[in-house]
Amino acid sequence: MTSSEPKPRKKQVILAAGFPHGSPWIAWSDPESRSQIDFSSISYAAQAAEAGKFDFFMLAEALRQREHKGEFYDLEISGRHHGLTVLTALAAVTDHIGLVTTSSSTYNEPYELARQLSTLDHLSGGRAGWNIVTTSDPQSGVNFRRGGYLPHEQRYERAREFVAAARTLWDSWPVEAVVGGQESGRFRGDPAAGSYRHRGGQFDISGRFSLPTSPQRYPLLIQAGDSADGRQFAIDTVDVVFSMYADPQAGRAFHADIRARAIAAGRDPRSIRILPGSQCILGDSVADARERSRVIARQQITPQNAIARLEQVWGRDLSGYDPDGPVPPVLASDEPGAPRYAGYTAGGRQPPAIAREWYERAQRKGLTIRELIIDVTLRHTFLGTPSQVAEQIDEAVQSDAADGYVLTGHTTSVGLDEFVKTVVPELQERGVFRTEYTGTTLRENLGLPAPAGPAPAGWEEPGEPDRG
Amino acid sequence: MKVVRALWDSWEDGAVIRDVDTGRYLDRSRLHHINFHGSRFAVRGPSITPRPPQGQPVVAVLAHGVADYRFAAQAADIVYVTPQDIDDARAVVTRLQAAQEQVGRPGPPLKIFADLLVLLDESWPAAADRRARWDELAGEPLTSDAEIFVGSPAVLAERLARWRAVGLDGFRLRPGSAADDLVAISRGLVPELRNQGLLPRVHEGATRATLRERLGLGRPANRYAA
Repeated sequence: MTSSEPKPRKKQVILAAGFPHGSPWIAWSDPESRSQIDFSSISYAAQAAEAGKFDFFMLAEALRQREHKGEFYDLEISGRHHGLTVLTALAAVTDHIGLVTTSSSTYNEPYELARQLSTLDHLSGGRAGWNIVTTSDPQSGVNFRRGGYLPHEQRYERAREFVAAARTLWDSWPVEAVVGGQESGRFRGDPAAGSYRHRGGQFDISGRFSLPTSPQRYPLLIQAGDSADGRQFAIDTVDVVFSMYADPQAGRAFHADIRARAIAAGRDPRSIRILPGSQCILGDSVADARERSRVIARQQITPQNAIARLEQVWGRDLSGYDPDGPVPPVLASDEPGAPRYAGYTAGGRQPPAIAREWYERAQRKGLTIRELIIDVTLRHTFLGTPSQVAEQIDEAVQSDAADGYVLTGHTTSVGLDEFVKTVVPELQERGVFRTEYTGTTLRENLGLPAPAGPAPAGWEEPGEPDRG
Repeated sequence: MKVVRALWDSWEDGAVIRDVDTGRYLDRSRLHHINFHGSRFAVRGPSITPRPPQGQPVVAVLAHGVADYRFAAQAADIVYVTPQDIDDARAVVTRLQAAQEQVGRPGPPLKIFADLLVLLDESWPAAADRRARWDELAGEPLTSDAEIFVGSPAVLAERLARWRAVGLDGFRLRPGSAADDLVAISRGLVPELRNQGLLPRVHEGATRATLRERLGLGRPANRYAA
């Protein structure tokens, strides 16, 4: 045995804290669950995650109040802030943790959003991240001056060009541009600093960008789209994939797919981090954790919520069904065309296909309506004592089921306290999680290289020789 | 502004009910589509953020002429104006009153604030020297849309008192430089104004007052509330 040689350092676990303010993952009826609007409960959550040495704190986003059967959807927690504004406030009350917004490339403009992200990166000392979402649902469209909404097939086209335009803006100040010396009498060393021009099919913009290069140059880029287009966009664009494959077996398949796509595209697969969204349920024993999981799941998916969620996929009124009874079959009349209710899609699949899949799943596993919705919606991935959960996470990461997880507690604000107190020390003990922050910026803490800076040729629309 | 103000009202107070028995987090009768259709915007609403603590955050606009005054009268809580002297200030106040009548302004009258760019020093010569130095560095004289005040905090306090008497509600001071003039405002001007009784010694309810409360604007009723 080569005991004299140092043991190779194990792959490190990445942990992020999600703060979903509009999700069945939050059991709002739990008396411990706090407001998702009061700043004190948001800052508490971010500071708790920072005390646990988490890599970043992530805010979800939505651009509309959800509706169901022509009424406002009233069964789940809702009402949320503008993410970037909240993160800017959090920058003042945290020192190390990354601050990640979820912002739409459909309902924002590159100049506006690039500027806000640059501000966050400056004010936080290099801790900004952007989870890029390609909203294309008509329900959000009615709140925006764009009026309708982007054709579904154009959403990644716009997203790609949006990011390219944003990078042009973030690259528009040479690093040495700010002189600010009293002797030279000049503030900008390079009088052209900030000048930019971007021309493409989605945007044609030019002018002066108002902020100097920020500490990370580009915020950390994240995306979650699971369709083939979404996965390809991830390979071409982002640093982190926020995935839905928390189950280790599914996670390994997803990891392998992303790896293969990266290699095919000529990208080093080690430069991409994959973080599934997940929940951990802790207990004094496995049996205790299972029982807690059952109780929490029934808080998260109430009987009313189970019926409503099924209706969203089945596309018809199911209010007469017993949530604790069998799942109704998918009728032939459900099949053609548009569902009557707000379109639920996953991975680009449409409701009739999802309904058939769910129905088969319920048949196979013998699930009631409520059990089915719990099964398809929740991700209580890791169950057990703190040391068992730490072991499960470690094993999942070492076996490339993930590079880490975006964890969400089941209660707002205080939901990750127990994990931070009990599981984080176990992970540290196993040598797979930091005991102190080592980097200054979010990218450094994730072990990602600093962005190289301006690409020599810049963005060029295919077949568009004029580059201004 | 019509759209923004309607969105701020689109959640009534108390919309979050957390009723465990019925599984309802929201009272959906307290959320409202705004269904706005204008020539520039079409917005269905509601907002996704609950109504803020002030109900309607304070809206302020800088206004330089009659068209601006009319917009301010329709849309704003505070209007910033740029009178060049006391007679001009009196005339601006009169025009703003006319604009408010003309548009049939609902709610409390506009709060009128005069803008002043200030260079403050112990004495007039010191302040004037600083202005001259700036002019020299910039290679051109300092100009502004607002009146430029150069002098001591005591003289500025007297001027503010005189201007206030013609119907202004307050002032927005633009410090010539943050390093010098902001400090001179807080350490020099504020005590002067307190001595003259133009600022309260301590803000009433300073600990937890909203901006609207400080301005005496009150919390507006929600247009959608029954």
